[in-house]
Amino acid sequence: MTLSLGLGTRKYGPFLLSLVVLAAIWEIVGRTANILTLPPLSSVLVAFGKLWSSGAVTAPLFDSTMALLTGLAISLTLGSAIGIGMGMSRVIDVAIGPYVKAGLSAPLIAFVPVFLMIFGIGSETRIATVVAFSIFIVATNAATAMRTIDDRLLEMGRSFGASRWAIFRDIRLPAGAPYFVAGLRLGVARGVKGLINGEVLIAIIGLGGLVKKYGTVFSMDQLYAVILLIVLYASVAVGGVTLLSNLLVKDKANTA
Amino acid sequence: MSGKADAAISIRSVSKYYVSGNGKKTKALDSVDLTVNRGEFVSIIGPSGCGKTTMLKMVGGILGWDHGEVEVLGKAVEGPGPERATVFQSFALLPWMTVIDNVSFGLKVRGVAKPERYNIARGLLKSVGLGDFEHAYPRQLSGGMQQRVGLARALAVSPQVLLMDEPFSAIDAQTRLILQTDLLDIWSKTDLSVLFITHAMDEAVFLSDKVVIMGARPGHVTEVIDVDLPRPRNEATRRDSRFVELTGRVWDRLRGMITDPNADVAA
Ligand SMILES: Nc1ncnc2c1ncn2[C@@H]1O[C@H](COP(=O)(O)OP(=O)(O)OP(=O)(O)O)[C@@H](O)[C@H]1O
Ligand SMILES: [Mg+2]
Repeated sequence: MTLSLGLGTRKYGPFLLSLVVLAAIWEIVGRTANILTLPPLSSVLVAFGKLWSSGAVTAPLFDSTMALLTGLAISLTLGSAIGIGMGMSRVIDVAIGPYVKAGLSAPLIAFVPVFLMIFGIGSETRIATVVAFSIFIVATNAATAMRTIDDRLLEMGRSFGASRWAIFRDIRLPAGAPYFVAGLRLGVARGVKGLINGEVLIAIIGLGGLVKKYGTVFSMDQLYAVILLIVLYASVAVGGVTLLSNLLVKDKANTA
Repeated sequence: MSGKADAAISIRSVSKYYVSGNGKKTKALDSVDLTVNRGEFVSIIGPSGCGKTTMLKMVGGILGWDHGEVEVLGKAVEGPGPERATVFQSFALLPWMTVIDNVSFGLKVRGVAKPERYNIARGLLKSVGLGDFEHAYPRQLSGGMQQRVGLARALAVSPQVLLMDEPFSAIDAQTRLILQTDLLDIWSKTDLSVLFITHAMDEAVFLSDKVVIMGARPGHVTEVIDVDLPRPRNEATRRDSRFVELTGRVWDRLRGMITDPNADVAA
């Protein structure tokens, strides 16, 4: 017990310390400087509490989460299929690989207005944004999963007369599991980023909509409260997936 | 043309070309003849790149050839088949599967139900001395133990022909000697025909009924040495003067090829 506490302190101690220092500076500067754009931390936290208890964030939080999950589900299925195709077929790789590479580094936020025109102000636009932000990294990792397979294992499978499907299911997929999971984790991080970016741009829906709403009326403590919520939201989403994936590939990660 | 009825493996006038990416053709095998009779243990030995693995893959049905015939148990090879199984130099175990699942792999592929394939796998794990390790993962085992799993996996599909490509070359010298005797023990209780590739001359002589010596550029058979050492073979065999003599003979043939790569072509 004391040992684990001690280890915990060593691991998170410096972070907790910096957090306290930062919070203190924020509070002091906020109180003394008295500038509109920087309310003291305490009033932000009060606003956060009110925001939470008033239920003002429940609906946006739910909407955003649904859009995120739907978008991620699409990215995972479609992106994995594309990536597996790229990884296994040279023709497919040459045909669509360049788009995936471009999509990986392009400033995809520029597409949000286009999505808005196509899908209108609804969850479809947000879903499309999540997909655009996450699908390319999922595909890239799926392709890597297929390419890094040890040929000797495939040969073993063939020598036992395994069908192409059996080799895919029993060798290729499990061997690539760590890459698929990495793709999922990065996909979630990017998807959350895309979601919030899109919402801020669209300006009237979800968590991003709240940012716009409070921002335009200079309701600074509420604005910071929402930002705080978004940061927490993203951390929980990514942290949750990391935790989940660690559990999933516990045995598979330390294989090679 | 058809091989002798009692041949387990019959390779006749087989030639093989590899075509590389830039379209360049290299001849890997040149009119190779080789016969493994039923129940026989035959080793192939030869310099690196002489086409040993190429030949084994052809017999295994995972690689085609350009001229000649390859038959297993009197039937032309058209692909992998249930009467053949391979043991690999790299072990080729699936690291995410437990030992028993690895041993069952070939049976699973053939659609054998889980209880039955576990039953068979357990029996084989016992016979290779790994009865207590069915739930271990390959990475928890030593190299020698991993190859025992590889051997059990091959035997699990009840093959009649066992193909082994340098199965012990990644294993330390002492463990290797133990594995050799254990392999002979297992083999002597079956009617398996074995084609065994190795670079170790003592290993070839100790295990085999026949040692096939191959030369390179392009791969071809130079000589077949009959090993008339009595069976069962054991540690005493290794000190037998006939064993020493035969090993020396294999070395004489190989040494010439290594010091002068063209020597055997002229011979
Ligand atoms: N996929 C391939 N493409 C082109 N050439 C190949 C291929 N595989 C093998 N070769 C060539 O064919 C020849 C025979 O190769 P093989 O692997 O059968 O030799 P080997 O006798 O098993 O050698 P080693 O003792 O090193 O295992 C070599 O010259 C090798 O470079
Ligand atoms: Mg080889």
